[in-house]
Amino acid sequence: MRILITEDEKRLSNNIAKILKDEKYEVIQVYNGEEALDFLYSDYADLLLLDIMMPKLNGLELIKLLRDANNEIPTLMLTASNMIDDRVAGLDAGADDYLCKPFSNMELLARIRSLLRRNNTQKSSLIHYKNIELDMQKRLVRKTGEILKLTDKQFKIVELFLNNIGTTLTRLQVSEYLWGNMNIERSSNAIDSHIKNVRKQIGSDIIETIHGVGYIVQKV
Amino acid sequence: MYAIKPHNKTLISKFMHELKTPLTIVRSHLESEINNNALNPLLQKKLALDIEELARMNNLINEMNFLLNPERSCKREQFKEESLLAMLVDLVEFIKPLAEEKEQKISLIAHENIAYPLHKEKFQQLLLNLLTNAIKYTPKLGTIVVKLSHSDRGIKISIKDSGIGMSIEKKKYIFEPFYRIDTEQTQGLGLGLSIVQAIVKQHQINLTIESELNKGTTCTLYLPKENKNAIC
Repeated sequence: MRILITEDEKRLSNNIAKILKDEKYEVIQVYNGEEALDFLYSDYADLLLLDIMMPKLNGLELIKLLRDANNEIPTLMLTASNMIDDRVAGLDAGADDYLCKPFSNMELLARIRSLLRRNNTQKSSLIHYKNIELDMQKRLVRKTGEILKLTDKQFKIVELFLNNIGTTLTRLQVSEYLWGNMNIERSSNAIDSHIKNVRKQIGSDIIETIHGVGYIVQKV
Repeated sequence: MYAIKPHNKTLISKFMHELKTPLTIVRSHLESEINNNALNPLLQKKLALDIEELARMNNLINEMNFLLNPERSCKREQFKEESLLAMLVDLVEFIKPLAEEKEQKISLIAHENIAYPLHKEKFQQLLLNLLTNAIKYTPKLGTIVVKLSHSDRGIKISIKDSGIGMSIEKKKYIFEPFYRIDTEQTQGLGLGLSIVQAIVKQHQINLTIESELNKGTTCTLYLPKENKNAIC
């Protein structure tokens, strides 16, 4: 899968590129909207990561041009604004999803996977790990074939960890995934008890604690 | 804060948005480092705390932006009928571990499910700010009772704590940004109730706060049954 990163902040662009390459995506970086157009008209990329504020041609203008030309490339918009007007403007212009800065690496990867999955229905929505099976389409978790009775939040925790096997997730990342940007001091402490409840269901050997940092599901 | 001229508000808002890019770069670097297997566990722990500090900084930027332009953060067309009971159950579940840390008992009393048109994200923030205040200003082993019911003034949500309470004199200032009742005992910047007030105003609902020193505080929200005028 090829991802086109259109972001004028070079350090941010490089960092995103590294994260994506680590996940085995092919990456190309451009630094303004005009450069991006060349690649997009040639159908080079499978997904577009698009910053809004850019020189020459900004993100909103670029996405409008693309959609007017019937180019339906899945587009994830990166925005510094959490104001509703700006988010709506991006979606109205034709972006498929948006991510507010500062985002976590895990969240960026999750949104990309979700957009690519939407576009590629053949791809399996099942993840197996030890005796656990996660069915993202049916929103079910099975343990040795038996469907587990999970609350919505518990399902999301399993979904999050099985989509990020081998990655240490901080309690803050888990909290943001479950609750969004709800602002609460030391919210991450609240996560521990949720993890405890999930362990009771899926088994205590799946999600490991990394003391003072967060949690990980180790690669098998 | 409310005396800032509109064009200055826009400038400040833009400036604050500009802070988001460096925050993103630093956070992304730190998160990558946390996953570096060669990293010393102690350093890994410190980086996780650093990321939490960045999140705090980001929350502060968002809060200031919201207080500068509350009307830009949500729109009337985003109001949806939401189950108040589901929202309260969710929030109490979320906040419970914080109460348990202080060995406080937090309970929810609700006899029926009531739906109400509101901006979910903002309304959750409102309730969360009131709940965190209740926990923050209630000593160890105290109690917090959340109640959803009907009243003559509309749907009633009350949050009652057995905390330190406040004097009539201090109560006058609680909605001022950066005001804190007791700077020694509590953390935070004191924006919580200013945000609560802005959200209450947007939803055109009512909030009353009754408090008695050393006995506790009760915050009550009244949601009028016919609320078609809420502006957001």
